[in-house]
Amino acid sequence: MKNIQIVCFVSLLTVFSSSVYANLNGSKIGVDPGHGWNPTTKEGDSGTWDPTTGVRESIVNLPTSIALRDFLTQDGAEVVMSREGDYPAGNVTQRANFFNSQGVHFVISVHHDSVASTQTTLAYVNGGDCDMRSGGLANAIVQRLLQTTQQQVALGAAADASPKLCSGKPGVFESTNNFYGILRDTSMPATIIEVTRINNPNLSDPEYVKRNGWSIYAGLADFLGQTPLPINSNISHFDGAGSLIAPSSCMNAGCNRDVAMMHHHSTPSTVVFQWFNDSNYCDHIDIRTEPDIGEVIVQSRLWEEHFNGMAYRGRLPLSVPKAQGSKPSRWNITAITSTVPITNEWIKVFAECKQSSLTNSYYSSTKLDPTELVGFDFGYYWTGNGSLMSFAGTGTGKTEDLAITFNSHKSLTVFQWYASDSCSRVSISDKMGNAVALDGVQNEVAIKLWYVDDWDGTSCTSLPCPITAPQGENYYLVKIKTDADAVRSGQLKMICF
Amino acid sequence: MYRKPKDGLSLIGKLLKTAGLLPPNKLWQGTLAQRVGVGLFSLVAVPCFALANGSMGNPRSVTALYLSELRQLTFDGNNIAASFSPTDDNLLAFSKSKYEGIYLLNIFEDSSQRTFKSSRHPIQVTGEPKTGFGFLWSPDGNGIIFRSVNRGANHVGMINTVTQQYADFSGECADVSLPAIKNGNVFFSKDGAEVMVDLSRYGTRLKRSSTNIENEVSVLGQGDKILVGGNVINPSNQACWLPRVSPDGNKLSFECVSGLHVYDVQTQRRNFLGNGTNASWANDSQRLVYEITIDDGETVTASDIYLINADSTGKINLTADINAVARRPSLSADGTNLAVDIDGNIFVANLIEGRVP
Repeated sequence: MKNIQIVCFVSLLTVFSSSVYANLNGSKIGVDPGHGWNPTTKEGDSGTWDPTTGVRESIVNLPTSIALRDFLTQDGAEVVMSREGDYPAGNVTQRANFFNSQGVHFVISVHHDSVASTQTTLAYVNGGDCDMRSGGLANAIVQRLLQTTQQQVALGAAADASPKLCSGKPGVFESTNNFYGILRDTSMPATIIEVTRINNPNLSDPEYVKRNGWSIYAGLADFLGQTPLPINSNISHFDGAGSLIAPSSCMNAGCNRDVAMMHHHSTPSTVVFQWFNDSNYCDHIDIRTEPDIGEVIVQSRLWEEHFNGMAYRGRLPLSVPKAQGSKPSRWNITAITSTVPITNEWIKVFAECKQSSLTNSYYSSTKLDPTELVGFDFGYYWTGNGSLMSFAGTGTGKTEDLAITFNSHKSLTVFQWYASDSCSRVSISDKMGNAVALDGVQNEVAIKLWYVDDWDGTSCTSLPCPITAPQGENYYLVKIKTDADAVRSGQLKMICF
Repeated sequence: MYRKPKDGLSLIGKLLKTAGLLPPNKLWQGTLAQRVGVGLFSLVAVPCFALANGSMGNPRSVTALYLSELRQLTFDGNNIAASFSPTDDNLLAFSKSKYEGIYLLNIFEDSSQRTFKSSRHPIQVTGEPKTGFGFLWSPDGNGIIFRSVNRGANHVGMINTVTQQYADFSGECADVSLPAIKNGNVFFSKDGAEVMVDLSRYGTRLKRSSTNIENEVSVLGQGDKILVGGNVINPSNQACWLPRVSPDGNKLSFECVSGLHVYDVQTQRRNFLGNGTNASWANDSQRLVYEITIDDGETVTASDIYLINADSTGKINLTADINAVARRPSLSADGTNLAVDIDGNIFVANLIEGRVP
């Protein structure tokens, strides 16, 4: 069960690539893969080792640190590393002076604990730093790491033992003798992370190691009040199209109800709805599936809340109220993710505006980490919703649909399109028919089959943009990225022709 | 037990003792013994045999060196990185744990004065974060130059220890290196660009070896590179950091993964001193004091203080028989006092040249 939860968490995060948003821009982070050893010259120190496999800690600390570096860099941080291979990289005093000289803002020293250790995932901070920034940083990292190492939190020994458990920070210990050089001799908040014991068999799995690196990065982002980037921005778990649920007037664009499709795949599926909470017609939406897939994860936010929102795990049918704190009439973005891969050929996910009492408020469901959102292509607001096109046989498809964009922001809009004989070509345009220029680099129209990872750009450098289904009858996703002010009417239209 | 060397006191020490300015030994004995063990005191007078005949400067004939009159100056366990003023042998600057802020302390309290520079009680120079790492005295001893690190708002500046006025050298910037002082000029890199600040423009009295400031050879620690006159002087494939220019401006020490190095600006030759960190120049520009720490990859288990000639000869362990982790040494301008931090407190000992008792 634990594995499944982790997988679906990943699925929520992993939609579109080419991140341009940088949470950690301006941050300078010191990453210290603990130890460092030259087996030929016997120089340096190898740290602990696993007597069964013979693997040295100096090696094991590297891939996690490099994954951490890569995530930090991807998020805009400048990273300074004490070493990037298994070789002697100076003693802890030298490393501390190196980081001090570089003027880094935080130091994270990555270690793995000895086989003999009774502890599991934990962090150390300097004596007296439990309630300082180092303690907060360590606590955020440990909380994230516990989700990916799948270890129990280290609770420590007797209260007077050294190191001593920080009050209210499970798994975080303060060094009472202050002799952890990288903690004591650095001038910035610093923590030693013992990711897991070195004989953890999962350490041979690159994905496990990568997730641990991501968790350390995510913990730092949490500590800085930022939302971490997805762990993998190239995996397309985003199967479903969003679907427009229009206000009272149908506008040929949904009539307070719509459907999106989930498909059979090896990983869980996500669909996204855009809906307008309206005080007269739609103060919440009810979500259900045919057939019922049981438990789902729901995330919902206002369109402009780039990185805020909440995630809940609950059983369908579920009611999703308008985003908390929203004004009476605002556009909401709601993502529905299956907790397990879909085994049917396809599943229909229905969303319907309701004004009556909530069926089963998702707020009463299990609250999950609120930071992992449907905030796909960072730098662009997911202002547009996808829209289901002309799916024959369901009675819910249309031959044209609208997605709402907001002309004050760079916008990302996705349509789900079922290409069939009756709709083998579509055209995307400004609702008013205005020409919209695209630079073809950041702003583009791209298409992909629902189950593949990579998007294919089209030749369109402006809207309207006609597209022919590249591989015949199937489900496609079409995304449109536009600059602020590009779509003056604030609405994109997609029609079969 | 403590044994005073027969001919132990330096001339200045004798004068001070005669004048009644040396504090009684009991000032430090009790508290220090409780903190770091009696073993520390069994050899407070440490004989260190060495002949220091430096080829890079005037030969020095030394029969032995002693650490004597070890005195504990701070007691709250939260003080590190002491650095003597280049002009006042009684004045120390130091920092707090994690290099937070810079403080001044007069090692011989003059109770008649409570000025910025005369108090035995530490007085804060700056509380800005991370300023205690790599700070420097101005050559006239009236200023302290430091770098402050805040995300997106770093800067280099100098605070006048007399007037307490602050001069901002860099303005706020995204990235700024530690400053280096050479021949009365402060060098640092600001967002990748080299900056030189003439200290004489800020009221600093200078005795320059050259008045041709335009042709001054710059010294920078930029990223993991040491640059002298724009040329990288790192040993091949090694990251290096923390350049410290000698008072005469002719040499600089710096740290690399391999250890400590000294570079002669004029001959452009590099000497390897061996393992070591936190080097500090003697005022004669011929010798350095530094530390060698030992750790297990996480925990610093031991540290000794060494004196060495800039040409890597004459290496002396000054704390070989001291049972304490002594860190971050600094020599007074007259070379008679050594300051270190031990277990979070500042200590000063007389460094005495003389015959072995």
